[in-house]
Amino acid sequence: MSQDKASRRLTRRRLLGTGLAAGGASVLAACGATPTPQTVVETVVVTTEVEKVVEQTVEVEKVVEKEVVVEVTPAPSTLAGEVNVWVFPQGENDLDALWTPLNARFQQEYPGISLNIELLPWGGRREKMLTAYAAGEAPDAAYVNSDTISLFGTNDVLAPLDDVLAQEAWDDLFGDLQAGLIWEGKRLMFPALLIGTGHLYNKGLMSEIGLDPEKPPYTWDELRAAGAASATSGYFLTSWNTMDWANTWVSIVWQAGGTTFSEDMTKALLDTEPAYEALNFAVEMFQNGWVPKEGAVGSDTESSAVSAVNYWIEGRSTLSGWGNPDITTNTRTQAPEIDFGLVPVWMNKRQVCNGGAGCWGVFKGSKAPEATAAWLNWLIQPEQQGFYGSVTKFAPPRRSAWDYWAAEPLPKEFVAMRIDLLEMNQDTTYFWQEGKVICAPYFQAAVLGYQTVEQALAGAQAELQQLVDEFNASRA
Amino acid sequence: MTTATSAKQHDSGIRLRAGLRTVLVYLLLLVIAGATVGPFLVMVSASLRPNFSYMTFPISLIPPDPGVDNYIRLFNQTAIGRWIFNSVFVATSVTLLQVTTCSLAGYAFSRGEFPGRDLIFWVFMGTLMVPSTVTIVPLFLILSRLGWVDTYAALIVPAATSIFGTFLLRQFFLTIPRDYDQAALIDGANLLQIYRMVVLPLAKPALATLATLTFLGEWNAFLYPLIVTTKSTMRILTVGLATMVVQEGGAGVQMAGATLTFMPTFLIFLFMQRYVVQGITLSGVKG
Amino acid sequence: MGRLRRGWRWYFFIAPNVLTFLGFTLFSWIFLIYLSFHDWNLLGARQFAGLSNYERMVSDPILRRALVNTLQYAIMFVIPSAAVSLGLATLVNQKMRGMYLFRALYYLPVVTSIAVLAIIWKFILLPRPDGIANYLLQQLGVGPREWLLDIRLALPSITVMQIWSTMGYYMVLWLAGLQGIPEEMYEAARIDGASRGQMFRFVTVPMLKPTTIFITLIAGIGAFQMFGPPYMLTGGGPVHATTTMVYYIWQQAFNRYRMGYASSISLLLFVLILIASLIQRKYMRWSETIF
Repeated sequence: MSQDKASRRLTRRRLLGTGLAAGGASVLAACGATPTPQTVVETVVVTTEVEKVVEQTVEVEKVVEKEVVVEVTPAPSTLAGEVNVWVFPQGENDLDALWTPLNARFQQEYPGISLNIELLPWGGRREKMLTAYAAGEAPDAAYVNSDTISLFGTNDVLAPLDDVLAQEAWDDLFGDLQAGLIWEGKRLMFPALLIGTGHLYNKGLMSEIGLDPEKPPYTWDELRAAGAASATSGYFLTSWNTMDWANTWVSIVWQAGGTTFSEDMTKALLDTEPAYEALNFAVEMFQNGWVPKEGAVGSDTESSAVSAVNYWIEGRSTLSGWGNPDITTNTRTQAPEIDFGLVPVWMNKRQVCNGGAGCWGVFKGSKAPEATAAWLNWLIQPEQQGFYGSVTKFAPPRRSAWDYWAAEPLPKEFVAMRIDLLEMNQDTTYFWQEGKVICAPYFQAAVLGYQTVEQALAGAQAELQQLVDEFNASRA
Repeated sequence: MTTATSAKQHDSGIRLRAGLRTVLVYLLLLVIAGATVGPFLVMVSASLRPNFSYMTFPISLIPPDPGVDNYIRLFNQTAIGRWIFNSVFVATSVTLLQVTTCSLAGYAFSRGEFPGRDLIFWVFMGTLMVPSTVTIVPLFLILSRLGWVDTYAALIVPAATSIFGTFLLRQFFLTIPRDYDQAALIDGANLLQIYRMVVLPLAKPALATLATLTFLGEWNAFLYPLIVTTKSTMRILTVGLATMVVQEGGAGVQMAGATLTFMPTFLIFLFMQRYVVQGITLSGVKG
Repeated sequence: MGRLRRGWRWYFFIAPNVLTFLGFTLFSWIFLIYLSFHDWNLLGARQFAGLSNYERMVSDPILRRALVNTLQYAIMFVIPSAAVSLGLATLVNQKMRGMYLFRALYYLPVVTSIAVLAIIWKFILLPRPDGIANYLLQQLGVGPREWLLDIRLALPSITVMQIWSTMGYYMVLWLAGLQGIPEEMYEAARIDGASRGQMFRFVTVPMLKPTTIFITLIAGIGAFQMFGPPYMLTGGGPVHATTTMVYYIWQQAFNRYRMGYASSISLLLFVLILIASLIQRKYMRWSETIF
């Protein structure tokens, strides 16, 4: 049944990936058969019931191992192999705080698998990943942002996870997340954490500028009114960065009722009304002084942690900038004097927020696909996802993992407020990097007044459409 | 009598002018120093602020609640000792190798006459002219083929020579009068002996300068060591510290890391400048 | 003597350089040329593309902008930077107390982390009256500027920042050159009654010629490859005003995943730098000092 299908798929993948001898037999199945976990977060009591059918295979260059069919009952798995995983920092000391305890637990269940988690810096992330892949030095699995799915998808470097992970896990995901992780009908990534950014508001400033401190502005019209009131009193409304594709473009254009690309990816849609409205909103923000002007120019680096001035923490901005859930706890420690509340997800025609996620992907070149699959399967179990979320302060993307998510009430509330409004679609799947570097100069021209909104959008549209056409030509 | 007085007046006039000049020079030196020290002080100050995430205006150099919390968090990293060792080992090896190979080659290019000399020199110079942004990919392909990924060899061997250093030393050797070599030549010294006994001792300021800059470059390198190593145990300090930087916030630790990284290169500078001064004090003794 | 100066023995001295060149650099160059005739996104297969990458260069307006920016920057940077750092070097090369300390202080920006420098410059160049640069200008009675947001001012702002942050580096190089001038030459000049200015003009300047050649060439190559500030600070903006050649190469390679195109731009840049260097070689009359 479904196990047979899984087995077939993996075999084919492995044949492609490692160049097995033609006589190679089939590989594992059953990793996908979800264990029914009764594990508790801290006291590790694992009573996993797994049925594993492992058939070792004959590899050309490797030692021929015995063909075994093992029935694994509660005991630790005998699955063997070396799994290399690349991850990126979500906290200051991920290796010690997150991965050492996780690995120890994994190792108890799978003593035969040698697991190497390599923590790499955000800075130079794409350079490192792409260069490694080009030289055949890629890991077995990695933390991959959904921003790279189109690159990986087009080049067929990620192994489909449809059958590696149980359907139950996919169904357990919040809202619409699956949609953004599908490439040509195959699911290439599984979310590790939810990214759903949002704003806080300063209640004191709200009263000061003459607005109701219990009614945070969130519709565009309310935001405009609050922006004008803030500017009059010498404050900012929020902050805005033209290089921030996810927040200041994608979410905004969705809220205006549009998208960047058509669903079938044949058209760029910057020549539509919602795109005009979205960019015009940004222009209003800058030209009325509702946001600090310096945000019009920014760098693309993924490690520039510090802004010159944090107007929110300084109490000079009515709303914070876009933040992750931990903006709540950070504000409390850094500016205890600020009495703040949560702002609902912004809304114009739609109330929606970009749900681009941090994900796990498995590379096709993996020399130990079964072991890697076993690891991933283990890692995305609710208790592991919960623990991951507790340490990283990001929300787990699986519903059932929330029982294991030890977060403070505020960040939890922050996520809960937007969890059903998170969305992923073609805009989050395709051309994340490309879209950003193509459009940012045009957006800058518009907000700085070098071009009108129409001119800027026309220029960006022409370049984006060319990108889409090139892509479709290569796909055909 | 009168001449003596006027001479005395003249003397004191000179002294006064010299004194005024000294004051002005120091004033100028201090003003410039203000512009170069400021950012450094901000970095150190920020590293002592546990919750640093943004700058305040006016910039306060005395942190509100100073503490070494960031440094403690830094040293709580289990791997940091290894990263420091790797950085020291790689930077020192590369520096020693480069000072050796560059001085040999610089000597040849400044003194020798051999077929293809200018052509070879300019082909080498090409190394500096092709941006490494792109060449890092083929370089990594070679290292991968050699099986050097995650080895010290990858971190050290490709940097064992440098055309920058060769060029620097060549230009310096050109200023050493050739009479010195000739004297040694007449005494029956061979090329290697002249290099060791005549050229190297006279070139101490340039060698110290090359060593300072090479060490600095290797110590602060980021993208290359990031790409050629993956294992935490093979990482150098800059790359290791970068794994503590989350995408948003937590900049205090970043500043502490930057301060920690800064220290050795600065010490090397202070140490090496002694040799840069040496030349002038030796000849200054005579006058 | 001529016997020793001539000959094959010299090849032993340059052997290490030759080996690393043949082992690493040469292949990179060949590969680069090969790539410039292909389309490659680093993950997929390389596809032969004929001259299309070169054709694309001809009709690429952003590349043209990057080219102009790079040339402008090189012109604004090289000579002022060399002059400022030479001034610093002569200043701290005097026989006065505490020169050690000042050398060290001037070297600080070179060893201060680039991330820190980026933040501080963001702060200095804030586009409002409360930014440091604007505050200082206000004292001189000049109105506030928008620095990095102004298409005309962004590149000059970055140039000033770069001159400031690299002057300690070039100062160290100048110092090495200054140390190479034999003290006797100054003494001889002093006996002839030369003033400080004359000594600088007639002793220091000619004796520094090899160092001058070195520093202007290295600073020039560095200027043509400027990358840090657009990467850390401006992302090449506003509206491509600070997009330099190398930033554009990086963007094409790792944002647009066009390795072939990035390679062909790299080759163009190489040719540009080579031409500029050969012009410098001719103009500064290398041959008179050297061979």
